[in-house]
Amino acid sequence: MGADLDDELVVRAGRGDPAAIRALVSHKLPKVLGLARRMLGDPGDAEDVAQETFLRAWRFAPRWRPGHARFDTWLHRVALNLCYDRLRRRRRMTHELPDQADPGPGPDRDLQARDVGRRVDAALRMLPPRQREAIVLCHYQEMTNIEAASIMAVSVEALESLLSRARRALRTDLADVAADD
Amino acid sequence: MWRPMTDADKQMMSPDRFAALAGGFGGDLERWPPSEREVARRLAAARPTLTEAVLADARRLDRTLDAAPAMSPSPELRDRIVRAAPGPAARPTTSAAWRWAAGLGLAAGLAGAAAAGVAVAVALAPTTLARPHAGPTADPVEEAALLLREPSDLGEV
Repeated sequence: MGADLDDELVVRAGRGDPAAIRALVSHKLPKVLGLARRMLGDPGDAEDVAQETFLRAWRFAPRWRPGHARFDTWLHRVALNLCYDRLRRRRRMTHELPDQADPGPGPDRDLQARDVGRRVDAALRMLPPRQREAIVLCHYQEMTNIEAASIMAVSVEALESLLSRARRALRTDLADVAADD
Repeated sequence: MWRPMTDADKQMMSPDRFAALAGGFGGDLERWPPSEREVARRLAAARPTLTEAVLADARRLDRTLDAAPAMSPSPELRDRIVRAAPGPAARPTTSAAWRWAAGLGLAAGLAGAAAAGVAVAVALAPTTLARPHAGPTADPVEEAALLLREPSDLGEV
């Protein structure tokens, strides 16, 4: 959906136009949910983040000023901030419970190898969050380097470096999976 | 046989750069930085034996990544979000507050308060900016300002 059309829809949604609200949800929710799912790895958390993202969008919509920023960029940034909030909370819980087992993916490669999707999901979760963010935005959300760098507030060079490191780590982690392809 | 370097040669991407882009953006040239696609295509056309192996390797990882589970929004989630949207009577609260204040003749007082607020905000700015990705805030305008903040403490750049 183009930036201009987004602007118009957001303004209309801010006035309570049901058609605009439905159109925005229809176009943006799958992307927001996908982003949260890849960042958090948990479907329940992803749904919560997607819902909260839209609640913030609805609150912001009446004040949206067309032409000032891209709504898509704003929406992704809000969703990512909410994801980071949850990741921080998880990390705090892990620190507070040092005797508990690592809640991340287990080392049982034989079992996981039967399910490539789960292996990829686990490998994504093992990435440092900023590298994961770069991969999610560029590979899964299919954003250009300029769009992703803008959302991440980094230079395109820094984005490229994050992507290269992420893909290198994923390639290593998923070497046996890729080899079977 | 030696031939002089043409303009096209001069604009050719180096094999190292080609490999670096494949390593970052994958095996589909359509996903590469728009500014470098054309020169990359030229190199691929000129030296296919060199570039095909690089792209094939990157595509293998792309395909593997595509196997990660996708997630479609449930009808219940869609309904919850649509139900939470503003109703037709929704109006910007800031405008309403402004009209109310103007009606009471408090505009001048508010201007003074706003100036003081700006001063406070300026004074606090370094502290706020030093807290990168501080997470969602209650104010969506501040939320938008987060776009300008630095990366999270959760990961390196």
